[in-house]
Amino acid sequence: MKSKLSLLLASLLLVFSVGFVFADDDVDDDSMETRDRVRDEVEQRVSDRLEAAEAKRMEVRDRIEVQREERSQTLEQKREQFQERLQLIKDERKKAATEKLNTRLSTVKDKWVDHWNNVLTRLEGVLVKIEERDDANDVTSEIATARTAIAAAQTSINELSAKTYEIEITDEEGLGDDVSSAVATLKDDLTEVGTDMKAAHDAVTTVISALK
Amino acid sequence: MKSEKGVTVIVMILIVFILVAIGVLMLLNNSGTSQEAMVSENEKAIEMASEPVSTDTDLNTLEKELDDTKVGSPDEDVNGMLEEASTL
Repeated sequence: MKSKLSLLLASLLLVFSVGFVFADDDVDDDSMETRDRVRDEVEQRVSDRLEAAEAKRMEVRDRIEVQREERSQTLEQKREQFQERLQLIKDERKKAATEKLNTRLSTVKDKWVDHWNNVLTRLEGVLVKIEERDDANDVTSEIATARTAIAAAQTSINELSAKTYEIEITDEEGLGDDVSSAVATLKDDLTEVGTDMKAAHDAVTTVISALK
Repeated sequence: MKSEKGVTVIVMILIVFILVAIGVLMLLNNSGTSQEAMVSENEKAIEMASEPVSTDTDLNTLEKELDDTKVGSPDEDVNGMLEEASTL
């Protein structure tokens, strides 16, 4: 009788323990599912916000393009003046080099405007993703500082983009100085925007450092 | 005896000349390489910045993406132009 009872108890214990194991698996499955769902939701949210940020940036780019179009008329007039003044230069080598450098003033400026706009898109993307993290509340002030720095850099880029750079030729003797002066002006403006860009990058770096 | 000395001097001069020439060539080559490396670094930064960031919010990914986002420097472009301007 005793052995039958202990056999029954042992069987019951076995059945319960199997039940526990299955129940444990269920909990694991449930938590895995929840984790996957939360991860998918976060990814979706990040993706939506990145798309929104990209759309905003495309608007900025479109606006810059419109500005470029609007400026093209003024630019055309300046080019004509430049071509007239270029006739003062008799040395054909100098003439060709000056013309090439005059074109490069615009292409170099446009190249850096486009690049820095891309950099800001990425910095904003990184910030958006930081904001979606669970620990984002710990770095709200750093995020705000970074957003201000990005906005300041954007303003600098827009101002740079609105400028036109042309060599103002006085005469053949002073040609080197005229060209140097135009290039130096562009260099100063690019350096200024570069400083703002670096500040924006540093501000986002500070946010990440604060999360560590 | 005298001609032996003369040959030795000529050989010495030649060796010095060759060594100086090699040194100058090496210097020129090095400066060219570093300039090329700087330019390609900028070009790489420009290319990388045009890529969108991922949707991954992991801290390591964020750090890497930020690291890959280079502000770059237009100095190389404008300094080249200033150099050309100085020849006018």
